[in-house]
Amino acid sequence: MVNLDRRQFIVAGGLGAGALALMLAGCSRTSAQKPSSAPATAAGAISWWDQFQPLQKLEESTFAAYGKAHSGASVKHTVYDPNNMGSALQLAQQSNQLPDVFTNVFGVPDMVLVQRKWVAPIDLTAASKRMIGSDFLLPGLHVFDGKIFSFPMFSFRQHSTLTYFDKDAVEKAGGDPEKGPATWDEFRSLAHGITKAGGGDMYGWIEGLTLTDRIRAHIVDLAIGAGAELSLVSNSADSPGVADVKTGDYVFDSSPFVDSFEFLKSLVKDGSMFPSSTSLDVRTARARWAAGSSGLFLDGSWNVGVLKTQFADSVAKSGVTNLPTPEGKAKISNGPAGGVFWISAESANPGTASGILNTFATPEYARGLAENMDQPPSDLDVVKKADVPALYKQSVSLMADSVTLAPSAIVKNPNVAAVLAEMQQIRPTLGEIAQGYLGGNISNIKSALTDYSSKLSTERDRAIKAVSSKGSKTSLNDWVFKDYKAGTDYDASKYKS
Amino acid sequence: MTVARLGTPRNHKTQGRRRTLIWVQVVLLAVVAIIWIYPLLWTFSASLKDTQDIFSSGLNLIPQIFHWDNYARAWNQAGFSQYMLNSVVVTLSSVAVVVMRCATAGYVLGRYRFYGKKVVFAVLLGTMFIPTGLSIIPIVELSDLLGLLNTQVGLILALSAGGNVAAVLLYAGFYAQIPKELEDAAMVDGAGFFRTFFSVMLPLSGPITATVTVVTFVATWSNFFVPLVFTFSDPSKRTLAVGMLAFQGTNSTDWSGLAAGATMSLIPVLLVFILLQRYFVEGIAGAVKS
Amino acid sequence: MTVQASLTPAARASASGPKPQDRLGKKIWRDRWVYLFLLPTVVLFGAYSVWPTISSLYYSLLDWTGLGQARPFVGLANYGQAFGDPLFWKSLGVTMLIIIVTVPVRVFLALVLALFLNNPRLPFVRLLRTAFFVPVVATTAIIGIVMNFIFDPAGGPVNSMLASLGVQPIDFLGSSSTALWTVMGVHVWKWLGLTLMYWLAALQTVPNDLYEAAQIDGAGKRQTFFGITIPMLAPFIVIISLLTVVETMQIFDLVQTMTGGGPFFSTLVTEVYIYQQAFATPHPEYGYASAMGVLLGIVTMLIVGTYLLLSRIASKRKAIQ
Repeated sequence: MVNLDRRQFIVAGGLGAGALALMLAGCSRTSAQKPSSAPATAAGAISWWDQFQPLQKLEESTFAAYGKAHSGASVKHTVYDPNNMGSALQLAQQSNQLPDVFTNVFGVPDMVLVQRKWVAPIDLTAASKRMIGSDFLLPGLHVFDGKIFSFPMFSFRQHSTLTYFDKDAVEKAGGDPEKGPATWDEFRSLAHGITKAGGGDMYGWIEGLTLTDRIRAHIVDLAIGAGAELSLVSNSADSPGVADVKTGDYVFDSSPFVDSFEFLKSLVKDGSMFPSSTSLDVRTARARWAAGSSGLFLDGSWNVGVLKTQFADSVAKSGVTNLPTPEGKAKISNGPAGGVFWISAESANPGTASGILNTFATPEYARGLAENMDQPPSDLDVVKKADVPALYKQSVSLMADSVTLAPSAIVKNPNVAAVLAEMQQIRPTLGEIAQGYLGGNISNIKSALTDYSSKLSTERDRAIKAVSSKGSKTSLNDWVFKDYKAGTDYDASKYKS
Repeated sequence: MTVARLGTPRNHKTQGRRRTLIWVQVVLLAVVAIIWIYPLLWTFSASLKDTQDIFSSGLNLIPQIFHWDNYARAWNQAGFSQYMLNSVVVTLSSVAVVVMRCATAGYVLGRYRFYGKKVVFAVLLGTMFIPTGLSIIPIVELSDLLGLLNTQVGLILALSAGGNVAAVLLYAGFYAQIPKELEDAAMVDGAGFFRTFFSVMLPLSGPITATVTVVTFVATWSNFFVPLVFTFSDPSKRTLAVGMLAFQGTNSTDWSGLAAGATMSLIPVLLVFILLQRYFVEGIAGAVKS
Repeated sequence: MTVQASLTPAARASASGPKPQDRLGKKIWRDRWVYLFLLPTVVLFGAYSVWPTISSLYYSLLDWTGLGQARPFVGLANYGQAFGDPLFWKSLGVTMLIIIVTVPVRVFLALVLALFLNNPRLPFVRLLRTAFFVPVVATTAIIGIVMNFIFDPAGGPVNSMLASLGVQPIDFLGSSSTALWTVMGVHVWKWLGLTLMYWLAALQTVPNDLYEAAQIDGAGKRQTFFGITIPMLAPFIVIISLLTVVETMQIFDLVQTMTGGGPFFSTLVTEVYIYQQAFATPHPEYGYASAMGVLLGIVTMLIVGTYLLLSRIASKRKAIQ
């Protein structure tokens, strides 16, 4: 080493360079290394991503049962935090590593997955199709070019604005602990009463506002409850997919919406909202409510599932009623339920993926869903027979009786999905406006909403033009449903007429 | 203060006063330190509670019932035993790569004049300011091209091969200050370039290496996106930071499991800090003199 | 040819200087060891830092969602969009404010602490150092959750303390007027230990013999501190604050988990906004996110450049005096 001469130096350098060259030559694109021997139909190992933590055990036992029946089939299951799963999927797509089965949390409409050829059709058995029901397999949402790419597993008869309440707190504040609040006024005075009785330890209402999608969903639900007649492209659609049913316009500045905003604001003004709600995520807000930081909490039926596993004591202490409305009569509508799982077009084992997905369309699995108390399964009767707390049964039956099917522009014309994909996000979004208004950053809600609606309309007009110029026929007329009657289901047969 | 130790005690009276002063300092610092780590004490206590207890007991640090099973759950069920091993392997390798790469580059940049030096400096500084968040996609493309995606080597390279400009500059600054006599002495002993560096210079730079090690260790240990992307197809290769994902679902968080995981992932980094901290305080000055 | 002859320590080279007749190839051959030492950096740093930087520059010129193959070239359109985007400017303002407030606080507080904790005779000194370092290594995911309790307006420790002083509860994280200050406080709390470590390392470069000499000259404690310690540390102030500025420019994790940029954009730092545009949106715009990343880099460079210039002027003026 001391007197390393020229020759040694060259050898040393050459070794390094050689190693580098070898490395470069010896390797090939990771993404090109596809298992070549596995025939497409044989059972094999697949990867599976979703965000359904409460369903993890159910899913994994289903996977295990399938693996037992089909030797060689196995699933690498990853449950993601939904906040991270979107970016994970995006990066996976970038690097050609999409899992064999995934949920669409890309944020793009499902149709885009099909258009970009990222997903493959599911091979559904006749029994599965019967179980799902042909009325619920819709063009533009599940069926593309006559092929089934995904199917709904949860009922559209649901929303995320049920009122859960602490019975004791409601009673102390002078409310009926069996009924809870029905009207906006009742909700408001109850929240105020609970806050007063709480003496700084308990507030009337808690909400997790950090993730603004959630408050957007509440606002849309409340507005429908207040009489807005809307079309929704799918179950709890983002605001670009929510329009007036008769004109197709964006009407976020109409009085049902403005009133809903003002209703929530009145809770803030009264000091009934748990103070740090704007910085809580929903999961924490739910836990704080269960632990007694507030008396009222707006949520979907999955709330009971979480309570059961993490706050078992509070199931018995809690009551549920439908979302508050101005008059106390909850009538609400929701868009058709979208597909849940998608099979990657790159999957080496689409057979296994389809096989397992078929077992998800069975009565046994629906029962499993009901027992895990997440979103209600498509077949609501299963819940009645399931061994679950009354609180869950009541949540589901409240929604079964009050939620009807709204028309969907995507089902009317699948090209609408392309328009939605083309539209740039308008910020502040509806949820961000809510955050700003409740937090005191926006004072004139009406003008903020008018501004938002008109920007959204302009952007939609541009997107419609852009999509039409590429040869896909679509127009504002796709968003208009003159024959819609509020309170009735706009089912598959209506689109044909 | 630092300089307090320099004066030699003149008599017992001042010595006594000094001792009192030092204990006053300790008590004050200890009070601040306890407030400082309170949030982490809370984390530790949460890791021993059940969810209901976390949310209802508020500030009370002592759990009603000690739930050591949270640790068992994180360690076995959530796969933390495997993740811990992965994290250790990946982080140690990354630290080794960073130290070698930055020390060698810092050495020649700090001590030598050569053709192209200015260009190297300019490029190093130029890339220092571009936010690193967006480099993930090109790095993934590159790794894919080299066939390194989904491999541990690829992950280690992605974590250690880029960035760390500050480390290079630290080494360069340090080596530039070392008196030439030291090198001459080594050469008189017959040491060449290689040996001078590895047996004289690198050991001298212990404090810098300690600093770079700790900073790299912390950054690598807690990096989320890079290990996430490199373990998509093989969850068993995940690191602790990615493994934390498992505790947060759509509707609920496993708070106590998360707290147990966070506490466990804290320990190795703390050990590194405790082991290396003497270098921050008993380092260069003495070494340079001798 | 021996290796010794090819050694060119800076000191020696500046004394003799390269002879003009030296040809480039010869020079390079003479310095081959130097290049061998640079090789890992050139290869690795080139591939994993320079290349991604160039890629980002290229992406910033594309209309690309970050998904799929369609990515038409649009020139500087993304930059134009950034200049007209109020949220981008808002985010830069928030980032700047965080830098202006937290960097001096961090650098100064850490120095004061380091001066105390540099004394090896201080009892429990290692334990104390470790305590101040722990937050640096704590997982951000858990910090977001813990801080929600610490700053809880209904019975959290901070508000309980304030209440005992007769102050009304403050909604630290939930109100848009206080959220940013709270995030800054937590940011300083989390990272102070790192700056402390830099200072502890820097303090070691003050040679002991200087102190010994001062003592022989009969200098008092205060004199030694202001006459020796502070001047010796001066160059480090520049380096450490620069490192801190660059690090703070890229503040992301903590804000993302604590507030997600809210309430109502009050804590929207540029990195969070870039992340939102690139990943967390129904309509990802990777090209646009890249353009904002490049702009953020340019702004950082400008700040650092100005700072270096000012500190150079200041030190020159001092030298003249």
